[in-house]
Amino acid sequence: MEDRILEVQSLKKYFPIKKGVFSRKVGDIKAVDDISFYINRGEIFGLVGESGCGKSTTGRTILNLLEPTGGSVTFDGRRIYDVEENYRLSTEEMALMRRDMQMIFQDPYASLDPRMSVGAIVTEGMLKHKIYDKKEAMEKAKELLELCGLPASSIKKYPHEFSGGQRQRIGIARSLALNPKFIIGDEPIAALDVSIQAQVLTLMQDLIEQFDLTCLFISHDLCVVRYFCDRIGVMYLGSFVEVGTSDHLFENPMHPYTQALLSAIPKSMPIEEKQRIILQGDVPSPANPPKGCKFHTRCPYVKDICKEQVPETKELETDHFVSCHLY
Amino acid sequence: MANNIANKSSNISKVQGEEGTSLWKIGAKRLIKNKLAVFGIVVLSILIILSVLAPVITPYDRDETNLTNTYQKPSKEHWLGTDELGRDVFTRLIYGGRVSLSVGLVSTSISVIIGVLLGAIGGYYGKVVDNIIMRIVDIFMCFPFFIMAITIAAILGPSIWNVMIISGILSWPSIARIVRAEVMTVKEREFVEASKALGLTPIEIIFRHILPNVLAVVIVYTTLGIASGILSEAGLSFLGLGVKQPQPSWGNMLSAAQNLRSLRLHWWLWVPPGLLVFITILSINFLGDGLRDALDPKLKH
Amino acid sequence: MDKNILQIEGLVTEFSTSEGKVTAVNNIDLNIKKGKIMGLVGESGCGKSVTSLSIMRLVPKPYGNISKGKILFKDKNLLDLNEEDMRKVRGNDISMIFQEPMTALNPVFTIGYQIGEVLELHLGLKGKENLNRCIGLLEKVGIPRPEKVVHEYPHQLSGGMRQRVMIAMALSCNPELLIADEPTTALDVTIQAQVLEIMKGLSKELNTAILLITHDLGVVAEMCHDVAVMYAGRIVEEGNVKDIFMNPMHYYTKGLMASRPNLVKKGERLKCIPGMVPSLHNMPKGCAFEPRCSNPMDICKEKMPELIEYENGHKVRCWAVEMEGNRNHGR
Repeated sequence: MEDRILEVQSLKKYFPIKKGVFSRKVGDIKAVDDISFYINRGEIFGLVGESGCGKSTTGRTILNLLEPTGGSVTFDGRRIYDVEENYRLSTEEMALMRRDMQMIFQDPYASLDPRMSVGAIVTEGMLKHKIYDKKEAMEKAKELLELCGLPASSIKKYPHEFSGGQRQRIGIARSLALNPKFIIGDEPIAALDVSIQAQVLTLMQDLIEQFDLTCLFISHDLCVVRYFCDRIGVMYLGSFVEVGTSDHLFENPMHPYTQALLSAIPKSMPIEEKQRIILQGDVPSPANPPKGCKFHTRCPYVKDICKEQVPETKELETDHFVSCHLY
Repeated sequence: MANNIANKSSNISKVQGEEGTSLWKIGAKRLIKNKLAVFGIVVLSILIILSVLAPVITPYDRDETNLTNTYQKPSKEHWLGTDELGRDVFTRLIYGGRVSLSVGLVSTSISVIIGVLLGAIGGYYGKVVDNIIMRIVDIFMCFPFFIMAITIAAILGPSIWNVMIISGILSWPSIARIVRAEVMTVKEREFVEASKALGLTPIEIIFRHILPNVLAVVIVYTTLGIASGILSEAGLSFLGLGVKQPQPSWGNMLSAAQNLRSLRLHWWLWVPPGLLVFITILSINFLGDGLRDALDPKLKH
Repeated sequence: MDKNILQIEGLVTEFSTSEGKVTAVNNIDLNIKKGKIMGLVGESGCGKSVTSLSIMRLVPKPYGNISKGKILFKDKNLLDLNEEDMRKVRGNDISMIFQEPMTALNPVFTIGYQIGEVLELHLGLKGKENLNRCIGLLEKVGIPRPEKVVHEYPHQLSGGMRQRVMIAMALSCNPELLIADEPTTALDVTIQAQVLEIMKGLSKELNTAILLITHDLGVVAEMCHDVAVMYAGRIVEEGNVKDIFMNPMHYYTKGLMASRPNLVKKGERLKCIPGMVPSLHNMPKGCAFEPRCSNPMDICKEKMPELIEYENGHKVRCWAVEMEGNRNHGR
């Protein structure tokens, strides 16, 4: 039996749409709509999809940074919340739990408080949880910054004195300060330059090995995910269409959406021949997702049943789940 | 392993210097480069020093009357002449500065405390709390300032304290609105989410992250608020509803000179207080604009 | 031999900042051939966008200034034109599309109005004729229901649709050169594929040359015939797309290629370029890439190498390559 560090059961997150003078609720944006998955200890799980598919919302809802609408999350054997059973950790328990689960954010310019010194940013969590006293925390911060490739003297500086890549290193140092077991990386390299992306990615790999971290890696960049992650979930309009190991998924994509997504990756060499599946139209609005299979409006293999019935998730190979009426 | 990573990257980052410069330091540097703002700071400092040190500076007592020596023109003994009771105008002017400046400061402090508190709470918590606070703000915004001030002053009676309280209570809504809007944008920034993920409580987040980032705006509006506080004191006192004689303020000095004879013959009774109000407001506005340019990170370049 | 539609010779664009003058584009030569797609690659701050703004003479004044060089468009130096003539060139002969289609479109006017405006200005089309041309253009860039979309506002369209509208607008006067500044960076992969496909098709159909500015080597591989790689305001390598990808010679290009995860097996580490781009205020004396180079030599610290052509238009600015080349030549 594998050791599952995180288990997400039919997670839902809806944002209400309000209209009119009295802010009457007229509908929901179903950002995350009934997704279930697990992550094994020490694994890197990738969450891919196009913008607006709900991948970032999923990450934030798992961490309880956003109030979940439905479903349950179990972390390291403890339930964090279970909306159906009306169970949730108390505020104190949750604060304690946060030590084990941290997040790296996408925008290195927005994720660091511009008025705080780097030292204060990195030590904030340690001081809050009283892991160290002030002096020890500063020493620890220096250590972490050096580990992340910044000089120890950075603690006295301010975020605006660093470049995007360096800021992202500060963000990584902050997330490691509490010695977490699990890290969510929300597009941590999307805002960086190509050569800096490689640096940060390599740094993350080193740190994941060194600290035995488990990682949920959210990205829109399929090449990065294929290279970086052990297992991958492909999201479309708030639901998974396919989940599988990175090899399975890239060698043998089953769902038409995954196939289209993979075929849309620009070729890596000019001489490479590529069969392209050009999808018609745009992603429908999550406020009003299509009935049945959400992908049927753009699917090249659409059948009548797709418009009526939501496809079940089937395990077609070991550890390779697909939700599609084709199979 | 750790060493390995550190070595690899030690040549990565060559950031010069040891001490960092905070945004506040950068703001101060930019402020000093702004000539008008520096002018404002200098003038205001002189005014503050004059009013604080008033007893040391003039040999006369504030209310010392000398009926044998009324309506004297400016001279060596009386730099700005004397008034209808033979009191030294210069002396009354700098004592009046005490009143005007402190009314401006206190009334603005009152409005800033209420405004920031309510604005921050409304902006951070949103929903019902925000709705209630903003409706109160709307109600307060409906009152025509001067008419309300005159009415309340007429009910409570003229006194310096009443002026402070009235102008403080009537001017908090605009600050609350600004703070609320600012808090709402800061709240959406990722560093707030990051501190939530670290396990900080809402109160800690408001005080450690949100308010410091809103402070720049608050400082700017406080400065400008002091100007309007001084103006409303002058206005109310001019109408006889503010500071009561014999205590001098720039407003009631102007009011006292409000007769045809004085206007025509005794310019030293009304030109100096009028000019001081003008210069003070101008300096404060220069400083406020300078602060806005210096502290607003959006105006970089 | 293809005819050059645009020739840039020794272009220097400078910006004055609070910390002094910086040279954002430093002595660039670039030729764009008629009907071909030229890629300009580099990381942020390398001067690729400033190059494009210089061509359009849209460098923000008063901070920016084109201080040297020639930009020959069909043998006419754009830098000599007065503002009035330049306006006629913009949108008519050379047009531009930007990264963020939302900010480039005016939210208070309909799509039809905005395209129609360009048509009226440059071609003098009015009324019904104008509208029909708009619909035709929208159809060309693959917008469904073009006769309805002309009457819609930008916010009613998705990002991919807006970028198509931008392309339609840019192509409205059949320009001979289209400058596309990161046209697909803000778009999702599947939409990016659609938009690239459209651009490629239209370039072929209308024989429009494209200067494609991007940081994405995949897009370059997909689209371009020729590539120029920029680093810190200079071109460091230039050539045919196949030569650049199959046989990169400059260590920066090599590094960029190696830091792409596309071709690396799982579990292996990416080879990354250490360090970061030097600040424009604080350029190294010699080769700007020397501090990050995996093969630095003494001379690199001292002198900036020249951009030298080796074979088949493949130009490289690197001492190591130059010395290697000389040695081979000597044999």
